[in-house]
Amino acid sequence: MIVELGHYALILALSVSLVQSVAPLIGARIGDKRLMDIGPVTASAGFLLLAFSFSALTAAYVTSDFSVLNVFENSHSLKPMIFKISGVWGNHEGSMLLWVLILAFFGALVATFGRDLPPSLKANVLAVQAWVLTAFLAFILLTSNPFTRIFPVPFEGQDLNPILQDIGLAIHPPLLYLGYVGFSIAFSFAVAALIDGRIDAAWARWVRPWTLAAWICLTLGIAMGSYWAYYELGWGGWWFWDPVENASFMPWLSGTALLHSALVMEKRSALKVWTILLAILTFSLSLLGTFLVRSGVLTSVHAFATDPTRGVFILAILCIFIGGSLALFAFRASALESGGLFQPVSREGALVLNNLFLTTAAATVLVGTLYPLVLEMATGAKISVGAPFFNLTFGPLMLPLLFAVPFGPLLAWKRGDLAGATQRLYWAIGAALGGAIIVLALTRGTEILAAFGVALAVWLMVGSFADLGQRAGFRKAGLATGFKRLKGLPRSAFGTTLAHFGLGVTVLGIVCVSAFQTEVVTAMSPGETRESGGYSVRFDCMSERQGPNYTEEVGNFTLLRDGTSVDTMESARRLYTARQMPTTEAGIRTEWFSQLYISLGDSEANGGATVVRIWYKPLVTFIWIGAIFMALGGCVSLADRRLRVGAPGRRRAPTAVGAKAAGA
Amino acid sequence: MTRKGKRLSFIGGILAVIGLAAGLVLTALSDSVAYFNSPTDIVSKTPSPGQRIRLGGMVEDGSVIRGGRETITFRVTDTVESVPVTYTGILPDLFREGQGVVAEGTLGPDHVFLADTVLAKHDENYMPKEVVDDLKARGLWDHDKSAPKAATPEAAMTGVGS
Amino acid sequence: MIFWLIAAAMTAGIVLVILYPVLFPAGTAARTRAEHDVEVYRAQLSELETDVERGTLSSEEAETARAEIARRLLKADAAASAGALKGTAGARWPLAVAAVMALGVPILSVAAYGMFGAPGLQDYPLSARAVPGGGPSINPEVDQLLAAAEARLAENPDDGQGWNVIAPIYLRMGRTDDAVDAFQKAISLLGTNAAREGGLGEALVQQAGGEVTEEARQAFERSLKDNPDYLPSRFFLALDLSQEGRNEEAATAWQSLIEASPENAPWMNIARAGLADSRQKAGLSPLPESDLAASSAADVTSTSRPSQAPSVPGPTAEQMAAASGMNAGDRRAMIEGMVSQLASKLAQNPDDAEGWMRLIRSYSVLGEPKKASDALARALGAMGDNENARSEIAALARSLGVEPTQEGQTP
Repeated sequence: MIVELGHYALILALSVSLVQSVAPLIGARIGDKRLMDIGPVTASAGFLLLAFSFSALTAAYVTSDFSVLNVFENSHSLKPMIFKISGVWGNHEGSMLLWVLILAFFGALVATFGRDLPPSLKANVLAVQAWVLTAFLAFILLTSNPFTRIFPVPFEGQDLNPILQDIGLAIHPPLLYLGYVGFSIAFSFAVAALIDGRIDAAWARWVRPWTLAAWICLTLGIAMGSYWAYYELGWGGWWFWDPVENASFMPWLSGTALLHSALVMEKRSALKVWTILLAILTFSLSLLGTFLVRSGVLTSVHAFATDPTRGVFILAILCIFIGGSLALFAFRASALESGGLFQPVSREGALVLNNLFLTTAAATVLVGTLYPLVLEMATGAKISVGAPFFNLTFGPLMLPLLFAVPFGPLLAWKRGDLAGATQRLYWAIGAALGGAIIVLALTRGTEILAAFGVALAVWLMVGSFADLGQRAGFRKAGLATGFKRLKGLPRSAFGTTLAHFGLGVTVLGIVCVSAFQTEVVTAMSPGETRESGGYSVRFDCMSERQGPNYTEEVGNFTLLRDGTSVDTMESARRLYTARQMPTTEAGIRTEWFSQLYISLGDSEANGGATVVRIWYKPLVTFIWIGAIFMALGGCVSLADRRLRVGAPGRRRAPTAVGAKAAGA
Repeated sequence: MTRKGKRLSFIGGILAVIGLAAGLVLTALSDSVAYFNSPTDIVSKTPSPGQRIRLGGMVEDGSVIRGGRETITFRVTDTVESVPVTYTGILPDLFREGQGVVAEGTLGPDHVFLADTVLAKHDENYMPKEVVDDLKARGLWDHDKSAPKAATPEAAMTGVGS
Repeated sequence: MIFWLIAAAMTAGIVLVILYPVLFPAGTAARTRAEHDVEVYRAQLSELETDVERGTLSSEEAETARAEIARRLLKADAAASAGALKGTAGARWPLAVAAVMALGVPILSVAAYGMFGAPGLQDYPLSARAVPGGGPSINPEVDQLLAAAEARLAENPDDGQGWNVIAPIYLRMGRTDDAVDAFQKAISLLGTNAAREGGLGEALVQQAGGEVTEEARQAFERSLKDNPDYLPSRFFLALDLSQEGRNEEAATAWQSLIEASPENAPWMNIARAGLADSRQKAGLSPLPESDLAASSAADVTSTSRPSQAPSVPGPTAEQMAAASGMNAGDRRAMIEGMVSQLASKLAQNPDDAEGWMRLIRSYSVLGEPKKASDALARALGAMGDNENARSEIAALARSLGVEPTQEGQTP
């Protein structure tokens, strides 16, 4: 009965969402507060209904109710509880339900925290949010219903793909979805502004924190997916330019651009039209990502063409929303007031540069991802666009941007002083040169590209602190006053510094791994040793082990330094018996920030030599640590009071601090 | 700078970046994109040396020779023609005789395919999509076998490569 | 019914939520958007002042910023004082719009649910469906195959051959309800035959806890009509005769079954025991020693007192052992059949102390302590003032760890 109630709640949510799509919009049109107020209550009610529906599906998974087709196909009574739960969104239907749940969650947040928004803006935003929700609820009900029942009821489920039985993957999709779907808020605000032909002053103040929150989740989600691929696939890479990865990376790029342009809009009321367009594009890329991943078009264009129901449905949603919003944009953008003016060399100018490079880079990724699909559909020719393409296009576009990052925060609004900014970056320039020299000295001048890369990373890392240093005025006012002032700085300044620093950390990790990683592919017999990362790696033996639902062959290794054993490592090949599916469990040993990574290939039948691949990956963890810094910067910035404000409260506060508190 | 001049310089800058990006994309598309070929394609019209190719088909039964321990040679077949391949490195988990495979690399002067990447998939009934499409197009697809399942996004192509 | 009550409550709640803002409009008049803008700009100005106070913004930068915000503020202020909020606070037709939409919600939801849902279908959590004794997973491999077969059948429920294959598997796993269902489906799709009808009968016997019911008997008879030599059906029909106390007929049936069966048939020992038992009760002469070998050895239930030939047989060690050669389902069916036979005899003839002890022991061996306690209580009650028998029974119960249930305490 719980399952059926969950199903009913899902359908009820669709009805409610339809009301939410229409009533607030009419209310805003005719200025009727009562109809507008239907928006917030329906948004909250819809969220509760979907939360109930999702819980019902989760309950079916937890109790192994195989009368639900979705549970039968994707679960198994013997699975550990955590993977029973993560199995809820480990499949198409369940993950779409999670998608709409998060969408409704964001709608409910706007309804709850948006009290100080102008009512008609809020009404429009909620209506637009409901359009998206309605479309996807219809998609779920018509093509991907997770509550379909089967009879007779099977006694056992069909397991979950073992490669998905991983704790990283249990958290990864929800984080990505929080990111994807979070951008829907920016989209709804953009379309609401276009409907009205008017951008309220509160607009940018609202859009930025929402975008920021979505961006944080997406950053963490992408980093986590990257680390998962790194340790689970066992082939040592951390980014593969796989279409699925690109699908999440494109919204991240344009979301990052949106974050920066919303800043200009908030502070200077400039770039309004562009920001609106960017908000639409970012969510469109999120939708595109959902389409690519969920339609099956990536797996096989052929399969997509033969069983197109789902794919075509999402494609239709995609076309309606992207096409519709862009048409609305073309139609209404001219009605929007343009904002303040600025010189090319200024904070605004720097942010425009940022936007220009980020969106162009996103466009090249888009081309690289879609070109093979389009080409195959059009001509039948099959090509693969892999890492070489992206290294050649994405890389050169990122370089100037990375170079410019430290300048941005140092330039004044409206009219900046490039020479002055450069002066404040002397420290960073010195550190970068130092880094390059050290690299050249260590490699005896052979690694010029690596030296350049390290210099760039150090430049980013040190340069990101220049803004804080300058604003605290260490140089002029001395340390004591400097620290006092530092405390008084708004949190957003720290957020910027942290995020830019994190970017530098990631770049450093990428450069070091690309330039200095060593790789040994070799066949080893028990007792043999190979040198890697300053260790002698001795292959001891292969052993067999029985897991709960797999068997594994484990390669045992001992690490020796100067002849004495330091540590042991294991690397395994697993075979999940139920599906006869082999996976690789790479052996990874982290030392400081570097890692030794061992994966196993084939063994000779008679227990002789085994093919072993040993990598030494210097500073590889920086790649993900940097992402964590970026997300942390986002969080700090989000905690800035001023960002949380929609419009200040009704009470006229006597002091500035009071005014902020009232708004919070 | 006048207002108009400023605007022009902005637009000029934007166009320059976009132009740069377009140039990069076009060069990259002509240089670093690999075309999918079946063994028959390669035998019937030898591609120019240095052209990157994705060779797809099935690993011919009994053709895998683990010669110098790390270096492996095998033949890729589409049931009509077959092409010898050499590869140095660790093969993916599901590399097996009779299974679908995609090798990426170039064709050597002696018509031996030098693979730098070999891909298979983490799924026992997986056939690389190009292989399936190709076999189907030529009527060589065994319809009794189950068609490849729609894979979850996360079960990405796995393989080994540089 | 409960489902629809809850669904109706949910729907009603939602309709009320939608109507609430319309029926009870918020009192405060909405402010114009320009007024909102004014608030934002004022806040920006005050933030600017804080920055200046903290010294994080140079005074000249602050001056330009202040001038710019002030300009916007003035403009917004002018707009705010000029434009009053147009509104339809008094109008009635928006109420109608809201009412129509609120009414649409239940109609649409119920209609759509009727189309997609399975109204009121209960949940089937695995824990509530566990097989007695078996647990959900005996052999993961079989489970896999079974799950796959079930999936195919779910998609294509008219696949008679599929049901035919899966039914005996269910039977062996002890999933009797599923087995009955599957056999019936196979029969209706593929037509009757000896094996299917026999299987159905066996499943029905299992379902009834070992009792050959009327329905089961008919199935076995249909099975024999198709193939009179289908031995499993003959076995169960003989068992039926024994259970009903038609001993003469039973003896004949057992005899002919034994003659027709190969020596190593799994039911042989039971059949011999059944034959001996029914002959004895029918008052026929006992069989030659060799034929009785299976049933004459020491009875598990025999006590220290040397017993005569038991008047009512419980399952003997041999019968248990014979049963262990059968598969789990058959074994349980067979033993339960014997025990229920004994129990019903004792209900008619409660003076048989020996029989009671056998029953208690049997239940205890079968792992049914509740039934054992029940039997103990009834035995003690039935013995009345036969102190000897009472103490003997009590001693047995103590040695088995069986306690009488409450009601039986009072004779």
